[in-house]
Amino acid sequence: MSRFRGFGVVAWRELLTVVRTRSYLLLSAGLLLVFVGVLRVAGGIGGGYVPTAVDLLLPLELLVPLVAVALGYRAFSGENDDRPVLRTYPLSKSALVAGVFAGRFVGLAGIVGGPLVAVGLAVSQIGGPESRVFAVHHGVDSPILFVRFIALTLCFGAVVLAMAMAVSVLVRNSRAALAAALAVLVAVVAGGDLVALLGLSAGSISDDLLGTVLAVGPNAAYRGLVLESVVGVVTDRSNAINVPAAVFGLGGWLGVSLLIVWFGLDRRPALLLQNALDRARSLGLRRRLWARLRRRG
Amino acid sequence: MYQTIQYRYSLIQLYGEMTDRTSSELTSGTLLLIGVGVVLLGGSIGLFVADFGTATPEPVAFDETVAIGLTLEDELRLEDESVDVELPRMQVFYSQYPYVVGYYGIESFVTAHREPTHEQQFGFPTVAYVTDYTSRGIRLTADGLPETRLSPGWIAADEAYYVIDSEARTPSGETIVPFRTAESAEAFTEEYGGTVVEWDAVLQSDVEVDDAETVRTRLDGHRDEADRSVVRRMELADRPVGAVVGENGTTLQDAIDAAPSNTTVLVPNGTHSGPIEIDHPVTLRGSGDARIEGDGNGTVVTVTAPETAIVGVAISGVGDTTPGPTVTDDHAHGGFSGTGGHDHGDTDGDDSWDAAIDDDYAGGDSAVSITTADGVLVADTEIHTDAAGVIVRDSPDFVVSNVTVNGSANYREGHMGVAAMRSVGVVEHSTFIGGLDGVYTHRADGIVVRNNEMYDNRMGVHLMFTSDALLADNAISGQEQTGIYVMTGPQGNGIVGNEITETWTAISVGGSDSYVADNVLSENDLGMRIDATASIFERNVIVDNRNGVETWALLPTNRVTRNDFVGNDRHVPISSGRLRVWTHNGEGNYWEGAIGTTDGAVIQRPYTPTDPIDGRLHRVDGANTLAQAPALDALAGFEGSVPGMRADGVIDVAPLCSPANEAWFERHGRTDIEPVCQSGGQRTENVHHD
Repeated sequence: MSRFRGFGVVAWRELLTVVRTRSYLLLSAGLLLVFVGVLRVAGGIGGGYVPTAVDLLLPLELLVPLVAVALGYRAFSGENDDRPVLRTYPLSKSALVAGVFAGRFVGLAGIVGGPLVAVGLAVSQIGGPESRVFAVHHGVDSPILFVRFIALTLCFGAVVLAMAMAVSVLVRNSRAALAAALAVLVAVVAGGDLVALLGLSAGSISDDLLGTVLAVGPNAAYRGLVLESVVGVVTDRSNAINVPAAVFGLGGWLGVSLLIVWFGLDRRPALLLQNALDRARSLGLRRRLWARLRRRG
Repeated sequence: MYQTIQYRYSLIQLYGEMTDRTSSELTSGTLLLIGVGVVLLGGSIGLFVADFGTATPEPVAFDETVAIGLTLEDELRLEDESVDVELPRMQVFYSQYPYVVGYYGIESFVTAHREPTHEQQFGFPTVAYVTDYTSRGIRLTADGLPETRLSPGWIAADEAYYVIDSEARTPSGETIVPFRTAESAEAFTEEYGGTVVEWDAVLQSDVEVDDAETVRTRLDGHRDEADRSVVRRMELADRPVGAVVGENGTTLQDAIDAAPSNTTVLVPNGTHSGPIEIDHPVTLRGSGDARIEGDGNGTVVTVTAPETAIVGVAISGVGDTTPGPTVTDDHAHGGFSGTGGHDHGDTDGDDSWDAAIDDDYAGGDSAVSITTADGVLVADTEIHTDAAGVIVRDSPDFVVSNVTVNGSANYREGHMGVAAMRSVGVVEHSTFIGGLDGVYTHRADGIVVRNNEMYDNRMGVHLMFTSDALLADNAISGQEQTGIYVMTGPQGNGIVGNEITETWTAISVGGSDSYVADNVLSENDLGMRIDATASIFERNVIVDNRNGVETWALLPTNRVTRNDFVGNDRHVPISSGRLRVWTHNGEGNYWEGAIGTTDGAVIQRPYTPTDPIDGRLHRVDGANTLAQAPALDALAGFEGSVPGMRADGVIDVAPLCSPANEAWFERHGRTDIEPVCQSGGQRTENVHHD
């Protein structure tokens, strides 16, 4: 069990960090406001759990990565880079990685899941349609479908969180970490879909492969899984995505990202690169200085 | 800074915790966390794998379903004729539709669920029940209608046994009869024929039910039939002369009485006194300015003989008795809610369910009254009346052609231009000015009202309990209430090519399986009110109205495509029921104001006319900018995906980028049409015009 020594303590510490940061609470409240606004405009909340999930799907596709990146990009970089200290503790590398990830994920679950649970409760209170003349029923709408939706959303969040952590371990400097994290955000939000679109229009992705290729992008996988296992239950229309491929895709991104964190914890590929760049820059500076001096001379 | 200090502090804490604890404690804490993780993981997998079958809903009272498949006329008539008739019925709970849908006739469900948009609007049936005739003492009436001794119960559709191709009928035609047991189904076939099948076979069976497409395809046939009927009736105008009014001092009535059957009574120039009665088949033909003037009391011309014709005369001096306020006041028209306001009870001893309607709508004086006389012609006649123009009772195959009815300027004091009571015929090329309704029909299935002009009446054409009518190419304006009003839930009406303007409500159509196309509705307070279901609304031009179209029918089963909405203050102000998708086979309607990229035929961004922003796009500056906000654009994307679960609204997921009736707009010099089909895309004509 020594491999997981300290996991719980690290996770708890990370969670406390999230809880103590008041701005995260604000972030959560902001999300709730956005959800309320979106649902007011789109009106899904009066229809039941599935229309609510449908209305929230696209906003969440943008907002969940944002929260995940906010939580993950400084996990191991900038001011929080206490790896040298931590590595002196009786703490295994796996426990550190898993602990940091788990702690921050629970934080993310609270920030995103809290408002979603509140929305779910609101749906249960508002209920579906009513009629004094006709018999009314709920069709196959069910709170379980909304719980599925929340679970899928949190899985998506976990994947992007791991990706952001992987970036933070590679880039030490906090400004560079921010830039890299934003790159992850853009890649997650738009990249995969655009690549699929390009492939499709260039003809390199055949039509019958689209459902599988889409699963490679985390957001398309998330969207596809929601359409398949939440919306699809009601419409009886499936084939939104290749489900095993989507699960594998999300799992793959999560696994690979955590592996990068694990490997990158002691090595500093980006730091090496940084040093090389610094050296090159100072070299160039020196050369220009020489040139100026020579002109004077 | 505070954060950093805190972070360092937590690091120190962490170290303290880790060094203080024994390794076994650490392990158990970690184990606990891992345990929780495993439970969560298992739970979430279960969440997706488990089949959470919701409790199967029990059947509801049929009255509480949103029912289709039977006209109100049939419903009232059946109630009236026999209390024991129990038609096969079905009730279906859909996955995303909150109301239980009731079908009269299993076959009406079978055809409905084959509609390509059915599943999109309702989702799939989660459970369906059918009438169970086992042990209910079923037998068929002479008309093939099922009667039972005990009222039948319900059985799940997939557990029942069905008899198809038997002698059983509903008012709409052949019907499928369900039983709980195979034995009782077999027993039924022994007596009434047919074969016993199970549910899957029923879904595959080739049942034929007339629908809106049937109406569309039979339009030409209907017109031809009317043409033939008019030609036949017009021959009556050429009968040999049998008597001349005024010769030997004969009065009009003398001449009529003297003329042999199947001859013409010539009515010379001048004014002739009425009232008159025609009780044998002759033709009354005026020459020059021939006038028949009543004494201001009662009806002027009473026709009781078949194949009578009245051609080329002017009729006036009609009494002013009308049915009065029961008809003229805004009574409760029972257009779609059971018996409604027309069930006045039996006041005159006649026990037919619609006896009171005759008193209310076909009573009073008229210029011409035709009763139980087949094949009567009224042509080239000008009528001045403060009561009714022509009232036709139980007289099929009548033709009214080129007749002008000048009614009362105040509709409350007037009556119908033509009232067709249980009389099918043709009303064409006529003009109706003032009075109550231009043409009023009651149980006149198949009547044709075409190429007429109607001004300043209460309503232009008013259909009650009338199915399969053709209302075509009428020009209607200045109606106090409604241009064309189809009420009391009929089926199969065709409303095509009418131009209606400056009217309170241009078209109000109820019932089902009707076809409303190529009408131009302009400058009305409301262009169209849709109460009908399972109907097709296409290529209508809805321009410059205060409100374009209101949709009230609860069931989202209409096909509304290729209509042009331009210049209305609000294209679709009100919609009740669930969200409707007004798109079929990838094309919707033309909406002035719809925005988005196009492929040359349709706009990719859905247009929601009932949406506060989309609904303002064509008239409020800035709405365009707001509508393209990513936050709102994102919402538009999936909005149409579960329409049955969304409240009130209309969405068009493939708005046309140029008007379907572009020629109409060009002809009328409309410059406010901006086709947004981009260059490079194909022009729309080739793409979405038949």
